[in-house]
Amino acid sequence: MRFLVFGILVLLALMLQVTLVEFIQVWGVKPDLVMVLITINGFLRGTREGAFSGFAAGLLKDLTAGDFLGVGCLSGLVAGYAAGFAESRLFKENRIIVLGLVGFTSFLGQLTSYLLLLLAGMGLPPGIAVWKILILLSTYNALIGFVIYGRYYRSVQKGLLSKEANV
Amino acid sequence: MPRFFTVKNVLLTIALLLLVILVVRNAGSDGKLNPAAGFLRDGLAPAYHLMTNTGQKINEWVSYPVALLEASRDNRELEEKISRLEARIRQEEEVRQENKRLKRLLEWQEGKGQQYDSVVASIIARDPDNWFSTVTVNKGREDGINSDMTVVAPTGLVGRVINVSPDTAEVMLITDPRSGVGALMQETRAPGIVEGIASGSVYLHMNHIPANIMVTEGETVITSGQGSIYPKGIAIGAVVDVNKVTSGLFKMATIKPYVDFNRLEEVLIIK
Repeated sequence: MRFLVFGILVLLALMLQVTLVEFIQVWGVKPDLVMVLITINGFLRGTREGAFSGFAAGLLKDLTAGDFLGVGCLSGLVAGYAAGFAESRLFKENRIIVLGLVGFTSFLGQLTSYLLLLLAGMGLPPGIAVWKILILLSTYNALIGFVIYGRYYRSVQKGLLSKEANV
Repeated sequence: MPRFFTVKNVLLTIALLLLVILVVRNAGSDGKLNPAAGFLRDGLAPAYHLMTNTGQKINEWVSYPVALLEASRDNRELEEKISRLEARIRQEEEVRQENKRLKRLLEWQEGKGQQYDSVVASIIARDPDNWFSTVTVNKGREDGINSDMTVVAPTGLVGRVINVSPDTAEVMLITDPRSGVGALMQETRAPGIVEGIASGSVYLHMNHIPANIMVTEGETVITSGQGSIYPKGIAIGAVVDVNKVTSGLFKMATIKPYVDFNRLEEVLIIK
């Protein structure tokens, strides 16, 4: 059940990402809602599920975007695993920790994308890639994560995303 | 046999006759009351006024709760009506704006774009990532769209089709870092390649401009037609800055595109 709910959330995030998120750009950068979900889910579920759900959500994103299949999968996997790594090491009740974690794991995920795109021959200027996409995007993601974390956490504890909701 | 002409009957008859005479005389008078009636009416007028006002106040007081309920219901109905009208105005404004944009596309089709067979498409989605600049439009293979078709807006070049499905097509914008467009400076005819810098960037770079050709700010950049994808002569943007590349052989110009990619809603795909 919770996998289905997570899948629906990712799909909703993706639909928002390609339509309405365009209108909330800051300096030409839009938040990556799917990455935020991957990170929060990884943080609450651990490395195994974090990496798996990150990979699956990234694959869905790649299929939607239609370019460079695999880049989203691997960046999602890295972000999900990194967030899962913090699962047993950081307090889950503290939103400030989530703010930093979402920012950091988003940075790692986007860095993975950048390196893969470099390997694929896409010559994006490093200055723009680092400042605009890696730093600005990670900060933006961190803020979005900070806002939605409480509700997501409650749902994981005793809502549709909890283990008890399995049927 | 009773006597008719008694004193009582005679007096009664005289009184009746006098009354009849009085009525007949006053009928059709000039609108002035006789002094007695006038005095009586004027004297009673304040009392009439007071009583009428008091009656109205009592009536208002008694019917106030009912009136309040009615006013409340009317207010709710009016608010709903206002909301509906406001929504209608917004819808009509949206239709007006769409009409304006489509009119401009039509003008382009009938004017500059007359030589091309083009089809209008609406943008339905944008790239989910920050790395690329692509948009998805609502026309696909079934509408005769194929890869590498040029996409334009009335103000200038938008990009080219890179992927097609039966009902949609993915368009790579010229701001995408993977995009390269063979271009010319309109006045000096200096050639170069216009390349995207990054997704979300409002500028483009025109590389490989021969160093010996003078390029001025504000000059218009158009497609050169070389490379067999983009037709010749489509406006791309205006030069905002020119720099010499460190090798010294070429110049690089920064171009501001004529198309506002953030506000783009409809495009024309040249078949």
